Amino acid sequence: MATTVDETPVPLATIPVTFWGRTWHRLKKNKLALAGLAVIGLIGLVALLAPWIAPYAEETQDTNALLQGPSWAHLMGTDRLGRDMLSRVIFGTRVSVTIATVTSLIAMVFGTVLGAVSGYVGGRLDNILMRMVDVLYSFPDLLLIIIISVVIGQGVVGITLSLSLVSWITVARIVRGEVLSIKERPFVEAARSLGFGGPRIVFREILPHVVAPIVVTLTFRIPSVILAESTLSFIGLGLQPPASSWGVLASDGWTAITFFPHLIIFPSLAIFVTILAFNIVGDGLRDAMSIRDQS
Amino acid sequence: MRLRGRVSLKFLVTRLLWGIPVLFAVVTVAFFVMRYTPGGPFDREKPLPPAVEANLRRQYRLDRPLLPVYTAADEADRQKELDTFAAAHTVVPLGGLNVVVDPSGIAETQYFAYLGQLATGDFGVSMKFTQISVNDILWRTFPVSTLLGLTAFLLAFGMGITLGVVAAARRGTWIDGVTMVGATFGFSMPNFVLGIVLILVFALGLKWLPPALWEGPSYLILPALTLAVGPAAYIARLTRSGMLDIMDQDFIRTARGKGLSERAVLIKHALANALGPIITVAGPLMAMLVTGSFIVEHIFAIPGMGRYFITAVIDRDYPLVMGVTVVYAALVVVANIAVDILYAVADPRVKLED
Repeated sequence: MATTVDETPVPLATIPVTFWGRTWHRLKKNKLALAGLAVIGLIGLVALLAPWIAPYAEETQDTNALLQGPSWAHLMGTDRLGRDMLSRVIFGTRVSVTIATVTSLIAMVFGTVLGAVSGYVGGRLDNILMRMVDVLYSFPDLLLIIIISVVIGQGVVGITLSLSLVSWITVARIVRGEVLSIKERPFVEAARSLGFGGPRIVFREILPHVVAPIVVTLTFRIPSVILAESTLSFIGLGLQPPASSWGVLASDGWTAITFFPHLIIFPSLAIFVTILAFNIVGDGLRDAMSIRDQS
Repeated sequence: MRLRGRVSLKFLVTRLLWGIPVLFAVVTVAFFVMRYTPGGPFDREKPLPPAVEANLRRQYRLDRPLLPVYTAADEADRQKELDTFAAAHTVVPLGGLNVVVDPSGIAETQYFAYLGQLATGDFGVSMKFTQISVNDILWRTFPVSTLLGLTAFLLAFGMGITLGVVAAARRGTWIDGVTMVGATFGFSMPNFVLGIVLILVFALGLKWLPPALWEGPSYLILPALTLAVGPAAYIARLTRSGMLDIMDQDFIRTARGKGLSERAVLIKHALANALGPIITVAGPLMAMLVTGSFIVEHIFAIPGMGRYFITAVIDRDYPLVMGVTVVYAALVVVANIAVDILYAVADPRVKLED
């Protein structure tokens, strides 16, 4: 019963051995990235809890308080219908963040699968895909998004789909590049000689090695989708009111910029801070995972 | 810097010829996407009298089928137009499809008529600004957009490379830190947000510069800056990391050992070798500037192509949308070739043949 176990503390390695442990260990030292991560968490919470934390209901109009500047009752002021801007920005967070996240995930899945298959199979398939990517790349993407969104529709779903259709290209390019180099490595050859089929090699053997660049790409995809969506909505070609993302709010405020700048400042600030936070975290992750810049 | 013998004529011709299928693809995609987009150029809040609309449609060839192969349209009005077309040409029904078989009929369908017209360099007449040809609009707006774009391009490279070199030279100091954080800020700032900030501060607040319009050199400053900051931030980061890679190499130590001034080491040795990757981004950068110019021209009410493009899409002004798209696509194609040549200028080892 009394088997003695040596309980003297083994000097544990201070640096974690797993990839994710190591990444977190390095990221922790990057104060800026941690701050960015905190901001992202906060934005996520705001998006999730919008109806509970917004001081007013989204569409409540107070006709006694039209176009007021920031005050204690309305921290970001009110718009021309007397709606509380803080509440509108909070609900806008929901719309903007949802569109960005869903779009990035769709782009991620399609980009990864197409990029991986194209890179692994090579040959004609790869050629066709890469020529497509060339054409799409030399096309100003806003132009493409405008055209597609006009066709599919300018609701949340339409905008999400049209942004996804453009976003997968970047992911596909990066994943393809990674797969091209990994597929020459000995362990892939070993898998092939064990008789594994193409799909198993691509998805079970190769892709796990591409996770790091994919995560970094995802982190940079989200801000660029927020950028594209808000820009489109700002010029009136994206989401249409009453759906209100930050871009729609900014667009609303644009007409009154001379006399009521608060209407445009706060939504713009929300857009800027969000993009900034994601870019900072993306940079941090890239450094922590020691991936070369390939944007 | 000598290019003789390194950039072959054959390379240039091949690359230019490759532009033709790319442009063709762009034209085709844009043409059909615009036509299948709901809404039309003559939709008004108060509908036009049917006779007027029919006349307009005939004038702009919208009464013809898009392609020589078409199905019966679902709208009654459109059906009448298609019947009129079918009566004037040889149209054979084939399993639910109508196939135009006579050559003149094929040439008169909308798509082929547009291609034929485009081949002569004619973009047609705007549907919104009636009586004005798209060629006229492009001739008027192209120089404006080009001036704005080139200024922004030079500004972006000037600021970006300078900041990147300074940051690399002062690696690890607060100068490096501030520059790189600043670059992240600049890169995260959407064009329209930056435009708004600049207008609020320099035009409406300090009243130093005009907030909008295009009436003299001072009108160029804010929009060019708005357009340039994002790319400049991008180039600054790229320059810094390129420089840092190079500065660790032996030949830099040799250069320092020779007693060269730090300035000469940085510019002549490090920067010259770091330029390659910076130049390669000039292509995507062009696309960034083009996209940006849509927004910036819209915000600053600048009469350039980008601003016309946005209103043209909203108005479904088919010929104008097509015209601007073709010019932009051609610009990107040419810019990419220019980037390849610049690449050869910067790196004497590069040979552009084939």
